[in-house]
Amino acid sequence: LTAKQITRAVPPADLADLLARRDTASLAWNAGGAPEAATVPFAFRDGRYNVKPPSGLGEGTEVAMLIDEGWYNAELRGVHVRGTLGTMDEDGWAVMAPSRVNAWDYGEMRTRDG
Amino acid sequence: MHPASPKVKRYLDAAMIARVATVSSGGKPRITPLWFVHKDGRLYLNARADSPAVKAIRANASVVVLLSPEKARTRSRKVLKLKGTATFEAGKQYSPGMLLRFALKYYLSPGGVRSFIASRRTMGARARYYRERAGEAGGIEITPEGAEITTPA
Repeated sequence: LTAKQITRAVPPADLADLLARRDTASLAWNAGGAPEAATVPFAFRDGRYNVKPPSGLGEGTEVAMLIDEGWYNAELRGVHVRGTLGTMDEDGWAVMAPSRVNAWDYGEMRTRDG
Repeated sequence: MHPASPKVKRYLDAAMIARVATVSSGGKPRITPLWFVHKDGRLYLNARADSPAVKAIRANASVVVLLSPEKARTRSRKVLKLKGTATFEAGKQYSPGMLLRFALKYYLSPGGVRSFIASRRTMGARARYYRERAGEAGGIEITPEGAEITTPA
């Protein structure tokens, strides 16, 4: 196998502007062995991923969340967060506890060590 | 709503990105943004064979696709949700007609040309990125079985 030198991966912090700007996210979860998904209200506050999941999803549910933008090649960037839902507040919002966060920006491709 | 209804087609025509939800063999959810074109009610997407989305589809063909009518430039926050099954074909050779659909949508449209010109600074890196991954590409085909229009709560 040839090592790949060029990457589109960026630190999630590089996309802080996108996270701050967006008020919805795409949320996916495992519904009895099949995927389910919805667009949900989202807010990135104090470095935390806040979501308002659909009713029926409770604390501890494992979810994947996508916040992305762009249509064309060099505009495509986004953040994928995998984690679990925290406790719901009285308005139905929960803070995600991330287990893995990936971010990419096709406009910032570069060598891995560059 | 029937996935072949004219309303579904309007959403497909107006959407630029398909956000594809999958579940891995270990039960992990994932949602992946992908370019797509559609024909006769089916969605065709490009993906790499070793991508997490393709690995999940090979293990579990059920998918949910979220599509926003981005090109419609409406303030509507409604989203089309399709449920269906997906297959992946490594090294998929699309017909010239399908390749033209991709090209017209993502490269030869005014926005695609503008983006290409604006991104010339990283063109070398992007060319190398795709060269390094040559031979890994394939095609996902999604057959929708159900459709509904949803709104964020």
